[in-house]
Amino acid sequence: MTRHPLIGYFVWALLFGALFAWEGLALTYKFGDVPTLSATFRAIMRYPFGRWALFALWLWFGWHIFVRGWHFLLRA
Amino acid sequence: MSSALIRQDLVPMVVGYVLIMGALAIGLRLARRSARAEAAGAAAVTNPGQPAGQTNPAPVSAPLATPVPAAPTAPNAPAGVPPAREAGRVTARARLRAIAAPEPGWRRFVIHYLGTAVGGYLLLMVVIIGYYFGISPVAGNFVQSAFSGCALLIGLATPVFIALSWLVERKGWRI
Repeated sequence: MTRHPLIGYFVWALLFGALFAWEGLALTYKFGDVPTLSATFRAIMRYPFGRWALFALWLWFGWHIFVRGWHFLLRA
Repeated sequence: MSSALIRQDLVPMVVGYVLIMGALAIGLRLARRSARAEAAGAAAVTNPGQPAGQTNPAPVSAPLATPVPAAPTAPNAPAGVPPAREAGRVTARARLRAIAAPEPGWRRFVIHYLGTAVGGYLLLMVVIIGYYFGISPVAGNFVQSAFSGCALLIGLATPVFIALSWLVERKGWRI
Protein backbone atom coordinates (compact mmCIF):
# COMPACT_ATOMS: atom_id res chain seq x y z
CA MET A 1 0.00 0.00 0.00
CA THR A 2 1.26 3.48 -0.85
CA ARG A 3 2.24 5.58 2.14
CA HIS A 4 1.07 9.17 2.16
CA PRO A 5 2.00 12.07 4.42
CA LEU A 6 -0.10 12.22 7.56
CA ILE A 7 -1.43 15.68 6.76
CA GLY A 8 -3.26 14.32 3.71
CA TYR A 9 -5.31 11.99 5.92
CA PHE A 10 -5.75 14.77 8.45
CA VAL A 11 -7.31 17.06 5.82
CA TRP A 12 -9.82 14.36 4.85
CA ALA A 13 -10.66 13.72 8.50
CA LEU A 14 -11.14 17.45 9.03
CA LEU A 15 -13.45 17.74 5.99
CA PHE A 16 -15.62 14.79 7.04
CA GLY A 17 -15.63 16.01 10.63
CA ALA A 18 -16.82 19.43 9.49
CA LEU A 19 -19.54 17.80 7.37
CA PHE A 20 -20.92 15.78 10.28
CA ALA A 21 -20.56 18.71 12.69
CA TRP A 22 -22.59 20.93 10.34
CA GLU A 23 -25.25 18.24 9.97
CA GLY A 24 -25.36 17.88 13.75
CA LEU A 25 -25.85 21.62 14.15
CA ALA A 26 -28.64 21.58 11.57
CA LEU A 27 -30.40 18.67 13.31
CA THR A 28 -30.45 20.45 16.67
CA TYR A 29 -32.63 23.26 15.20
CA LYS A 30 -30.91 25.65 17.59
CA PHE A 31 -28.91 27.65 15.09
CA GLY A 32 -31.52 29.38 13.03
CA ASP A 33 -32.59 28.09 9.66
CA VAL A 34 -29.68 25.78 8.84
CA PRO A 35 -30.78 23.15 6.27
CA THR A 36 -29.92 19.52 6.98
CA LEU A 37 -28.11 17.38 4.46
CA SER A 38 -31.35 15.68 3.42
CA ALA A 39 -33.07 19.06 2.95
CA THR A 40 -30.13 20.18 0.83
CA PHE A 41 -30.34 17.02 -1.29
CA ARG A 42 -34.08 17.53 -1.72
CA ALA A 43 -33.45 21.09 -2.94
CA ILE A 44 -30.79 19.88 -5.38
CA MET A 45 -32.96 17.03 -6.68
CA ARG A 46 -35.72 19.40 -7.69
CA TYR A 47 -33.73 20.12 -10.85
CA PRO A 48 -32.67 17.60 -13.50
CA PHE A 49 -29.05 18.73 -13.49
CA GLY A 50 -28.91 18.37 -9.71
CA ARG A 51 -30.25 14.82 -10.01
CA TRP A 52 -27.63 14.04 -12.64
CA ALA A 53 -24.84 15.42 -10.43
CA LEU A 54 -25.99 13.41 -7.40
CA PHE A 55 -26.44 10.27 -9.48
CA ALA A 56 -22.92 10.78 -10.89
CA LEU A 57 -21.55 11.06 -7.34
CA TRP A 58 -23.44 7.92 -6.32
CA LEU A 59 -22.04 6.08 -9.34
CA TRP A 60 -18.52 7.24 -8.59
CA PHE A 61 -18.63 6.07 -4.98
CA GLY A 62 -20.47 2.86 -5.86
CA TRP A 63 -17.99 2.04 -8.58
CA HIS A 64 -15.06 2.53 -6.21
CA ILE A 65 -16.63 0.65 -3.33
CA PHE A 66 -18.45 -2.23 -5.04
CA VAL A 67 -17.15 -2.69 -8.57
CA ARG A 68 -13.44 -1.80 -8.75
CA GLY A 69 -11.26 -4.81 -8.02
CA TRP A 70 -14.36 -6.97 -7.75
CA HIS A 71 -14.13 -10.62 -8.74
CA PHE A 72 -16.85 -13.18 -9.23
CA LEU A 73 -17.83 -14.89 -6.04
CA LEU A 74 -15.40 -17.48 -4.72
CA ARG A 75 -12.99 -17.02 -7.64
CA ALA A 76 -9.55 -18.11 -6.52
CA MET B 1 4.04 21.52 2.55
CA SER B 2 6.10 19.63 0.00
CA SER B 3 5.44 20.08 -3.68
CA ALA B 4 4.65 16.35 -4.02
CA LEU B 5 1.96 16.66 -1.39
CA ILE B 6 0.45 19.67 -3.16
CA ARG B 7 0.52 17.86 -6.50
CA GLN B 8 -0.86 14.54 -5.26
CA ASP B 9 -3.37 15.55 -2.62
CA LEU B 10 -4.27 19.20 -2.63
CA VAL B 11 -4.58 19.85 -6.38
CA PRO B 12 -6.91 16.89 -7.08
CA MET B 13 -9.08 17.88 -4.11
CA VAL B 14 -9.34 21.51 -5.16
CA VAL B 15 -9.91 20.66 -8.83
CA GLY B 16 -12.58 18.10 -7.93
CA TYR B 17 -14.30 20.62 -5.69
CA VAL B 18 -14.23 23.30 -8.40
CA LEU B 19 -15.54 20.85 -11.02
CA ILE B 20 -18.47 19.69 -8.87
CA MET B 21 -19.41 23.14 -7.67
CA GLY B 22 -19.05 24.58 -11.17
CA ALA B 23 -21.29 21.87 -12.61
CA LEU B 24 -23.89 22.47 -9.90
CA ALA B 25 -23.76 26.24 -10.47
CA ILE B 26 -24.26 25.84 -14.22
CA GLY B 27 -27.14 23.45 -13.61
CA LEU B 28 -28.80 25.81 -11.16
CA ARG B 29 -28.47 28.68 -13.60
CA LEU B 30 -29.98 26.64 -16.43
CA ALA B 31 -32.81 25.42 -14.21
CA ARG B 32 -33.66 28.94 -13.10
CA ARG B 33 -33.60 30.20 -16.66
CA SER B 34 -35.93 27.43 -17.87
CA ALA B 35 -38.25 28.01 -14.88
CA ARG B 36 -38.45 31.69 -15.79
CA ALA B 37 -39.20 30.82 -19.43
CA GLU B 38 -41.89 28.34 -18.34
CA ALA B 39 -43.53 30.96 -16.11
CA ALA B 40 -43.55 33.43 -18.99
CA GLY B 41 -45.03 30.77 -21.30
CA ALA B 42 -47.76 29.92 -18.78
CA ALA B 43 -48.63 33.59 -18.40
CA ALA B 44 -48.85 33.92 -22.17
CA VAL B 45 -51.22 30.92 -22.38
CA THR B 46 -53.55 32.13 -19.59
CA ASN B 47 -53.60 35.76 -20.77
CA PRO B 48 -53.00 35.64 -24.48
CA GLY B 49 -53.83 39.29 -25.01
CA GLN B 50 -51.72 40.63 -22.15
CA PRO B 51 -48.03 40.98 -21.57
CA ALA B 52 -46.62 38.41 -19.09
CA GLY B 53 -46.27 40.79 -16.16
CA GLN B 54 -49.68 42.45 -16.51
CA THR B 55 -52.54 40.94 -14.48
CA ASN B 56 -55.51 43.20 -15.09
CA PRO B 57 -58.76 41.24 -14.71
CA ALA B 58 -61.05 41.07 -17.70
CA PRO B 59 -64.22 43.18 -17.45
CA VAL B 60 -67.11 41.16 -16.01
CA SER B 61 -69.78 42.47 -18.36
CA ALA B 62 -68.50 43.99 -21.53
CA PRO B 63 -70.95 46.08 -23.46
CA LEU B 64 -72.40 44.26 -26.41
CA ALA B 65 -71.50 47.00 -28.80
CA THR B 66 -67.80 46.79 -27.98
CA PRO B 67 -65.93 46.00 -31.16
CA VAL B 68 -64.04 42.71 -30.85
CA PRO B 69 -60.43 43.03 -31.97
CA ALA B 70 -59.58 40.68 -34.77
CA ALA B 71 -57.08 37.97 -33.75
CA PRO B 72 -55.02 39.41 -30.89
CA THR B 73 -51.30 38.90 -31.27
CA ALA B 74 -49.30 37.01 -28.66
CA PRO B 75 -47.33 39.32 -26.35
CA ASN B 76 -43.94 37.65 -26.82
CA ALA B 77 -44.30 37.08 -30.51
CA PRO B 78 -41.63 38.80 -32.55
CA ALA B 79 -42.85 41.40 -34.98
CA GLY B 80 -44.06 39.79 -38.17
CA VAL B 81 -44.85 36.34 -36.69
CA PRO B 82 -48.51 35.48 -37.28
CA PRO B 83 -50.47 34.68 -34.10
CA ALA B 84 -51.52 31.28 -35.44
CA ARG B 85 -47.90 30.22 -35.78
CA GLU B 86 -47.11 31.50 -32.27
CA ALA B 87 -50.06 29.54 -30.86
CA GLY B 88 -48.77 26.48 -32.72
CA ARG B 89 -45.40 26.93 -31.06
CA VAL B 90 -47.02 27.10 -27.62
CA THR B 91 -49.04 23.92 -28.20
CA ALA B 92 -45.96 22.13 -29.57
CA ARG B 93 -44.10 23.12 -26.41
CA ALA B 94 -46.97 21.84 -24.27
CA ARG B 95 -47.01 18.59 -26.25
CA LEU B 96 -43.26 18.14 -25.72
CA ARG B 97 -43.71 18.81 -22.00
CA ALA B 98 -46.50 16.21 -21.87
CA ILE B 99 -44.20 13.64 -23.50
CA ALA B 100 -41.32 14.42 -21.14
CA ALA B 101 -43.49 14.52 -18.00
CA PRO B 102 -46.64 12.45 -18.53
CA GLU B 103 -49.30 11.70 -15.94
CA PRO B 104 -48.10 9.98 -12.75
CA GLY B 105 -47.64 6.27 -13.36
CA TRP B 106 -45.11 3.68 -14.50
CA ARG B 107 -44.41 5.51 -17.77
CA ARG B 108 -43.46 8.65 -15.90
CA PHE B 109 -41.41 6.63 -13.43
CA VAL B 110 -39.43 4.94 -16.21
CA ILE B 111 -38.84 8.22 -18.05
CA HIS B 112 -37.73 9.90 -14.82
CA TYR B 113 -35.41 7.02 -13.92
CA LEU B 114 -33.91 6.74 -17.39
CA GLY B 115 -33.42 10.50 -17.59
CA THR B 116 -31.63 10.57 -14.25
CA ALA B 117 -29.51 7.46 -14.86
CA VAL B 118 -28.44 8.34 -18.40
CA GLY B 119 -27.88 12.01 -17.54
CA GLY B 120 -25.85 11.14 -14.44
CA TYR B 121 -23.81 8.54 -16.29
CA LEU B 122 -23.01 10.90 -19.15
CA LEU B 123 -22.15 13.73 -16.74
CA LEU B 124 -19.77 11.48 -14.82
CA MET B 125 -18.11 10.30 -18.02
CA VAL B 126 -17.64 13.90 -19.19
CA VAL B 127 -16.04 14.80 -15.85
CA ILE B 128 -13.83 11.68 -15.92
CA ILE B 129 -12.68 12.36 -19.47
CA GLY B 130 -12.05 16.02 -18.70
CA TYR B 131 -10.17 15.28 -15.50
CA TYR B 132 -8.13 12.21 -16.43
CA PHE B 133 -7.24 13.34 -19.93
CA GLY B 134 -6.88 17.05 -19.31
CA ILE B 135 -5.74 17.57 -15.73
CA SER B 136 -4.32 14.44 -14.20
CA PRO B 137 -3.54 11.68 -16.73
CA VAL B 138 -3.64 8.17 -15.34
CA ALA B 139 -1.99 5.03 -16.68
CA GLY B 140 -3.63 1.68 -17.39
CA ASN B 141 -7.25 1.01 -18.19
CA PHE B 142 -8.68 3.16 -15.40
CA VAL B 143 -10.93 5.25 -17.67
CA GLN B 144 -12.22 2.25 -19.64
CA SER B 145 -12.87 0.50 -16.35
CA ALA B 146 -14.84 3.54 -15.14
CA PHE B 147 -17.01 3.39 -18.27
CA SER B 148 -17.78 -0.32 -18.01
CA GLY B 149 -17.88 -0.46 -14.20
CA CYS B 150 -20.38 2.38 -13.84
CA ALA B 151 -22.56 0.88 -16.57
CA LEU B 152 -22.41 -2.46 -14.75
CA LEU B 153 -23.41 -0.76 -11.50
CA ILE B 154 -26.43 0.84 -13.18
CA GLY B 155 -27.35 -2.51 -14.74
CA LEU B 156 -27.17 -4.25 -11.36
CA ALA B 157 -29.02 -1.53 -9.45
CA THR B 158 -31.86 -0.99 -11.95
CA PRO B 159 -33.80 -4.25 -11.44
CA VAL B 160 -33.41 -3.97 -7.66
CA PHE B 161 -34.66 -0.38 -7.71
CA ILE B 162 -37.63 -1.23 -9.95
CA ALA B 163 -38.54 -4.27 -7.82
CA LEU B 164 -38.36 -2.23 -4.60
CA SER B 165 -40.42 0.57 -6.17
CA TRP B 166 -43.07 -1.97 -7.21
CA LEU B 167 -43.16 -3.49 -3.72
CA VAL B 168 -43.47 -0.06 -2.08
CA GLU B 169 -46.08 1.33 -4.47
CA ARG B 170 -48.22 -1.74 -5.15
CA LYS B 171 -47.73 -3.96 -2.09
CA GLY B 172 -47.48 -1.27 0.56
CA TRP B 173 -43.99 -2.21 1.72
CA ARG B 174 -42.31 0.17 4.11
CA ILE B 175 -38.54 0.42 3.85
